[in-house]
Amino acid sequence: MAGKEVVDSSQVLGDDARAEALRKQLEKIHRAESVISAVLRIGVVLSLSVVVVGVIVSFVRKPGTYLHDNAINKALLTKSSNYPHSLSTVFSGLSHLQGEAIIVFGLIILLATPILRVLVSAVIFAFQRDRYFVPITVFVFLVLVTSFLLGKAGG
Amino acid sequence: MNMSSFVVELFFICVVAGLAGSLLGIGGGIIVVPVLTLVFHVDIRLAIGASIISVIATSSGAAAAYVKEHLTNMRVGMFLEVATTTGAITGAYVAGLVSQKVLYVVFGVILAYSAVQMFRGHFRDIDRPVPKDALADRLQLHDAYFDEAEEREIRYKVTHTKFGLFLMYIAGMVSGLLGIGSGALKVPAMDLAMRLPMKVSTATSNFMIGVTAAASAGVYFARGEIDPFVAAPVAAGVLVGAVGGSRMLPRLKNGFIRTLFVVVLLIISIEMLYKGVA
Repeated sequence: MAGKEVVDSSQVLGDDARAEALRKQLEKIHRAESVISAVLRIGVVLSLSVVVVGVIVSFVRKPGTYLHDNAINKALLTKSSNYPHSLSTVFSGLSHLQGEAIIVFGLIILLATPILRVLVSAVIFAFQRDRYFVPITVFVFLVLVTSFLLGKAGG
Repeated sequence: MNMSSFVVELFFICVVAGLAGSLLGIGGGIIVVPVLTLVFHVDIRLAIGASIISVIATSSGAAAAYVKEHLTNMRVGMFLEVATTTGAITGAYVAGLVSQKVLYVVFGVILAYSAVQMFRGHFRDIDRPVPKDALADRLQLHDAYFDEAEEREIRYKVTHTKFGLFLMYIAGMVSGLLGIGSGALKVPAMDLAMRLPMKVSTATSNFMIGVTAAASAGVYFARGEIDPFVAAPVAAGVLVGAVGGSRMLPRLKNGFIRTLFVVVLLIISIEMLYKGVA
C-alpha cells in the first residue's frame, strides 16, 4: 500500500492554473450536489408520507389486525409475506385502497430513490460534459437495471 | 404482543438504528436483524428483507443532507459504485459455491483487523504526505469540506484509488453473499487505503450503500420477503433516525466518529465470527 512517490499537497495546490481549475470543478460539483440532494429528499419525503398513509389506512380498515393479541404471530412468522409483492398486485391493491398495497407502494418509492439518483447524476454529468463520469454513472445504472432483471428471472 | 405495540416498539428501535447507521456509514442491519429475529421472533428472511429497507432508508435519509453540505465526496462514491454494484452481482451468483460459515469467519477476521488498524488511526499524523495517485488526479477526486467541529476547511487528497476500487468490489461481493456488512468494509477501505477524512469516509459510504442495497432489493421484493408490516415501521423509524444523525455528524469530531466506528466494527466482527463458528 505504500506509495513510492510522495508529494507535498501545497506543491500541487499552489499552482495558480490548477487552483483555478479546482475552483471551477468545485462550482460544477456544488450545482450537481443541490440537484441530487433534492432528488433524495423528495424520494424520502414522498415514500415516508405514502408509508404512513398506508399504515393509517390499514389500521382504519382492519383495526383487528393491529389490536388482537397474537395477530402478529400469524402475520410475521411465515417465511414469505402474504402481502402484495408483484407490481400488478400492488397496483390492483392501490385501486381498492388496500392499506398494505399503499405501504408497499411507498416502499417501492424508497427502493427506486437510489436508482433514480444514479440516473439523474448521469444526466447531470452529460450536461457538464464530464468525459469520465458519464460512462461511470451510465455503467452503474446499467448494472442496477441488469441486477433487477436478473433478480426477477431468478425470483 | 399485538401488532400495534410491535409497530410502535420497532419504530423507536429503528430510530436508533438509523441514527447509528447515518453517523457511521453502515446500514443499520446489524441492529435491525438481531432485534427482529431475537426480540420479536420474526422469520429471518423477513428480517433480512427489512434490513435491505433499512440500508436504503439510512442512505437516502442522511445523504440528502451530507451531499448538500459537501461532506460526501460524490465523485469518489460514484466511481467506487462501479465496483460495489458489480461485486454485489458476482456475490449473488457465487453464493451457492462457498460455505457461508467460512465467509463469516474470513470477514470476521478482516473486520477485526480493520478495527485495530482504524484504532491506530487515532495516533496517525494527519499531515503526513499522501502518496500521489494519477487516477485520482485524472478523475479529480481530491476535495475539501468545511468541518463544523473544527471550524475550518479541511482539504484532502485521495490516494490508492485502484486498490480502493478492488476493496469495494470485495465489499460489494460480501453484501451480495451475506446480505449484510457492506458499509463495515467500505469505511475502512476509504479511511485506511484511500486516506479520506473519517467523516468523509462515513458520509461517502452512507451515500453508496443505498445503491448496493437497491441492486438486490428487487430480488427480495419479488420473493415476498419485504413484508409491509415489518418494513413500514423500519422504514419510518430509520428515516427519522437518519435525518437526525445527518444533523449531528457535521458537528461531531472525526476522532469521536472513529472511536464509535471501531467499537461497532468490533461488535460486527464478533457477531460474524460467532455465526461462523456456532
